[in-house]
Amino acid sequence: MKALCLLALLPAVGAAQAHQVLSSVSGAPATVVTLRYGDGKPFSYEGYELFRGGEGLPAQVGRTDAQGRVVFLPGAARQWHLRAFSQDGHGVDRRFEVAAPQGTPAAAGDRTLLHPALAILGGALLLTLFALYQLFLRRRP
Amino acid sequence: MKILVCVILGLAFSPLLAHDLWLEREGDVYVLQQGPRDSGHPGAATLPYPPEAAGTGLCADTAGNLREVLAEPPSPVRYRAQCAALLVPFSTGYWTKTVYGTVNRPKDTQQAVVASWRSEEWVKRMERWSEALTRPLSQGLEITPVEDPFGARAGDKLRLRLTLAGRPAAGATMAYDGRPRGLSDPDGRINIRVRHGGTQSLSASLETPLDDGKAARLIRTSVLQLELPAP
Repeated sequence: MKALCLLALLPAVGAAQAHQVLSSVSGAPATVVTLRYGDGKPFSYEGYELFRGGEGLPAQVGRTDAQGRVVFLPGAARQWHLRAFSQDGHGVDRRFEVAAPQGTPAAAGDRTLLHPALAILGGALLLTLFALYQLFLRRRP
Repeated sequence: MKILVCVILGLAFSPLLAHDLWLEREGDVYVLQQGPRDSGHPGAATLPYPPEAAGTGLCADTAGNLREVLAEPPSPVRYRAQCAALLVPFSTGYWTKTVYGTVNRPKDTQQAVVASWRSEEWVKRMERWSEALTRPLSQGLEITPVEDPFGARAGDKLRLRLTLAGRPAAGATMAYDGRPRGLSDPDGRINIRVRHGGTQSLSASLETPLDDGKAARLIRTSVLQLELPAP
């Protein structure tokens, strides 16, 4: 009976995760573009569009960070086009080439940390095995 | 965790394009243009601006007589005048940088404020020289040659004086073609070496604290524009 209850919990674990946005943290080769005003102050919190090669749809949009940086993962693409403008007329519109990544390719850096659902599932399986052990093996004299 | 940072060729720490103001002459009409500094000269790309940002111009003749010239909308605004020197004020008002970008609003209307300022600019285009033009035309931040600049050639120095409300403005950053060249001295004077013929664009910028509750700083900018013979 205990084992059946524990087994019944397993689908519930998956259902609880169905409507959540899951996150993972990984390391990957990144490119950093730093934008500054002429006086050295960072071009911070301003919107940008980043295009891969000659594509018309941006590969990435967002805002520069507090240090005026745009960080992205170029992968195999070398040619990029960055547009960033503030409402007061400052900005940049420039095509550039990124250096070829050295060492680990981007895909190899995509090792994620343990997925939360997998961790729960693993824990449930361990509990199930423990329950089965308690029910059938330890019952013997 | 391993994050490799690749350095971008030719873009890292490159300065941004800045908006620049200049006066184009079309016969008896001056057109106030705004555009990227790197190409901010006649024929280059321009940016629209609210016409109300451009104020009434001051037109000086060689005797130093001044008359007002109204700005004619829409953008880019026009000034109909024949002047030895024309000075135009320009202000887009209050600006606030927030974590959601920069907006043309006072800081007391915004949240998550990072910086705030009020912008006031003046553009002066000189066509001819006279001793009367050694005096500033306005009470704004203004660059004035202290001797005839039209005889200068590449390698010569332009002798300039910077004033605010008619008094010397010290410690202002002076730039030639958008590149900083030095600071004005306690008498507001600075010498700038001419690098090329054609359009000369000299600018000065002065920042002071502002205590009106709408911005933290007042940024005044002045541009002096004149034409020298092309090389």
